[in-house]
Amino acid sequence: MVDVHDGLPKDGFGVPLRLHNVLLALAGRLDDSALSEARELVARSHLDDAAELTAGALIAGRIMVRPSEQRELALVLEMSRSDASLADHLTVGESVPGYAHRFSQDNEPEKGIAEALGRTLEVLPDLRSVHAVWRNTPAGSVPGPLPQRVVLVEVGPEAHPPAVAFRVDDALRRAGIRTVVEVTGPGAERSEYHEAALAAGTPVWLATAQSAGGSASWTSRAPRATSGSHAVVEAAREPSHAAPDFEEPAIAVSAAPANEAIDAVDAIDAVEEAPAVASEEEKVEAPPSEEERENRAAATTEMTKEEVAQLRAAIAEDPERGRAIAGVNLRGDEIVELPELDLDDPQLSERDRQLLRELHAELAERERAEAAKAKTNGSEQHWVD
Amino acid sequence: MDPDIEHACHELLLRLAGRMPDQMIWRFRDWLGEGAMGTLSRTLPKSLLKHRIDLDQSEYRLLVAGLIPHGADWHQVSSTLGVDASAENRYTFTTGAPDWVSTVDSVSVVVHASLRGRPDVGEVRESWRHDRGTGDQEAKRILLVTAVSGYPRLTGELQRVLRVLGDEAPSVEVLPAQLDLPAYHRAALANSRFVCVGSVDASHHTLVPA
Repeated sequence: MVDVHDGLPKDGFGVPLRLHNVLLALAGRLDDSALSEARELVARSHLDDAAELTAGALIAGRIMVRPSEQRELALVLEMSRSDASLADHLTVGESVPGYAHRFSQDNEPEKGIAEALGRTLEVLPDLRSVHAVWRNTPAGSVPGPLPQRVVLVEVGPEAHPPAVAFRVDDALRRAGIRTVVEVTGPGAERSEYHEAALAAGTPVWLATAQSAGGSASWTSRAPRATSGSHAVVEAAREPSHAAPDFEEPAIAVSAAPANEAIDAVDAIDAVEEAPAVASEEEKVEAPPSEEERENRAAATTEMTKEEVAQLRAAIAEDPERGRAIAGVNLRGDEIVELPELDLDDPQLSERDRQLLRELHAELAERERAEAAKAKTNGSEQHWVD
Repeated sequence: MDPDIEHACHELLLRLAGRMPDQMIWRFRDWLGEGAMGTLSRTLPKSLLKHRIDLDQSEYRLLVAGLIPHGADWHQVSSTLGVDASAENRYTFTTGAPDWVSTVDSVSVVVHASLRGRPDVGEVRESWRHDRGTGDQEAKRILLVTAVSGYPRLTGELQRVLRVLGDEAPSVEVLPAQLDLPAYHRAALANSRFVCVGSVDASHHTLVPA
């Protein structure tokens, strides 16, 4: 058996994530071109090139790094099979000079970003938020033009920060938007630079029910029937989102009793765009999409009873269910179709499956009770479009 | 730094114009301008191999002369020597700026302001490079500067200026006065526009229109 080198760290941080974190720590100190190129190289698995570009730019620019950063760079050079002796040429000092960057949200830093990222935001898993800000100060020894637009992406545990950094940057570049993309989340912590940028930043997009995985913080927002970028932009511009806090639900919806679905719809409408009314007829026939099912499953795995009530209200946002619940055009055999349980999904843990089963049973019971009630009182209720 | 080594590296990076991706070559030239020879020695040979850029014999000699003294890997350096290396030029050059360049051309103005009458600098010209098969949107400014000394530092300085003005991967070709120019630069000079002249009479480039 080949003797496997066991001198490498076993902290669970692979080389790509280590490099990603090195680059995060260098944000604001290294030029933005180097950061973006190195991130693309990391994502494309050219780890040695990424490590050498990073080290080379630091060396040539005589950019001071801390001893711990030098050690980490030497480690990633070694782990990526580069020449670790490059790290010996770094300018090292305990007192890395402060980089007081100035950020600004004047002149629409968010302009065009939501549109450019439309598909990217749909496809990449577990994105939590996107913020944008202008940086008015140069970075690195060979800075690019100013102001520099900085896009800050917060991700959840299911996302891979290096991949997100590259894909988001790539999508923006293809749309002709020159940015530097900083991706933070579990295992990829924000630095002071990122905190300062976020504090001055403008929200572009905030996660709704996309939060996947059992460990994701819950969101109370309903799954959307449509996920057009327009709705995303409008939601992101709500004043209530001005102060981002990633530990809190992206959208606050007041708790509503399960049998007050219509009021709940009003509440949701107040904070987000309602699904297109024109397509209601189609939706009556259309089963929930696979994405909706997944989102519902994801959004319910950690809910309390009160949160289940909110979810119930949120489901009412869907006109199909709303009409069914309100007793409009109700036929006996199609009261409410709950999304099918997909317990075979390999991403679910046993706990998730059990929770799903329980939740499904509970929802089914509520649907039946409410449908019966609505059938009785349906003529007195008015659906709110 | 040994001037011969510096000159060898500069000439090599000059000869790689149009063959190595712009975003890499400007970075290597910056490192050379900053004297980061150890870094260059450990990265340039490998980049040539990864991008399948073969060197002809004269270029290979420049690589050996420039980087072996600073610790370049012999295996990597040896592997860059191609047998039938052909420097095919996939670009065409035009004199006029593409439409997307605004009527106020900050780059020309700033270059003129900083290089006019400058010691060791000769004629300064610019050309627009087009990748064959693509339209004007892809046109890229190529700054051509003749000089008699301090090539790497002048290159680095002008690159920094151009980057701040919006060119992320600037193409600054600082041409030593006595250099036998590669085809790429001859073609660029043949389709170039006069910007300004430094303090050196560099009219010895016969390809430059009078």
